[in-house]
Amino acid sequence: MKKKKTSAFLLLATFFAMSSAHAHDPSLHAKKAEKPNCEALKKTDQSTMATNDPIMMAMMKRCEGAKSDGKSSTEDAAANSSDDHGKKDADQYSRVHGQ
Amino acid sequence: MKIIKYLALTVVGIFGVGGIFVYSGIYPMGADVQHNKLTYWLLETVREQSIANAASNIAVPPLNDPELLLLGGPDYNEMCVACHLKPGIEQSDMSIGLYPAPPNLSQRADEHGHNHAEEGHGNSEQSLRRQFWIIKHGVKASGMPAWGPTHDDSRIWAMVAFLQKLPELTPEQYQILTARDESNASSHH
Repeated sequence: MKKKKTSAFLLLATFFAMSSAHAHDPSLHAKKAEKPNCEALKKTDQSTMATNDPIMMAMMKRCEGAKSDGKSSTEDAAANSSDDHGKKDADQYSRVHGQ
Repeated sequence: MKIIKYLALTVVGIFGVGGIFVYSGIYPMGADVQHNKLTYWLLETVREQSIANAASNIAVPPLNDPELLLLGGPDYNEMCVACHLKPGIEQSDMSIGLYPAPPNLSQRADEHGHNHAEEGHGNSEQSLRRQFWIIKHGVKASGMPAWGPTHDDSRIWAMVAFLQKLPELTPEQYQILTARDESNASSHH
């Protein structure tokens, strides 16, 4: 009986230790993740931006990655209603910054 | 001899008054009642001095790699944005309700209401160390959790790299850099 209790305790302790180790595994977010809305990048006048700008380089890399997934990220953005928050944020940003 | 007696009485008196204050329960602990200036200064000074001391020997890696923005962006969006906000969002329930108020990290250091000149963390190396330390260890009784137990140093440095660019981002740029699609979600592990 005592052995069973010890085993159960050890099992529970192992379970909680494993849960904590994987507390923020990025793959856990894959299902609820949204696609990058690369339409905005297309609209950007890239000739005015430095080609070695880290932000531009990172965005291009992200959008290239999204394209290579097969489906156009623009289609995904239109299909995924959760992407609307990007537009809402942009609207609020424009109002605040007068752009 | 008399001086020692007076000193002893003073110390006992201070502890006595302090004990009565602590156990009386009269100090307001609600987050919707601000500290008085003395308490705020005391807590803030202890916090800043402690962090500066603890972070002073941290080696800062190169943070210019664009890949770091793609690693740190999604983590920021999932872990930090509710309190520290993002381009286009000026406030949230958390940013309003927490006390002390979390800094709006989508604004530049001089815009989000903290005296960075005095605290010595403009955009210097010490500022990077400070951000890394705070993300890794958290801050007691402030609502800032320690992410170190569940995130390795490289992921935390990626978030620090992202923070350096965050005030420059438009909402559209933020959306692209923080989107975690299936390909980059599985690339970490």
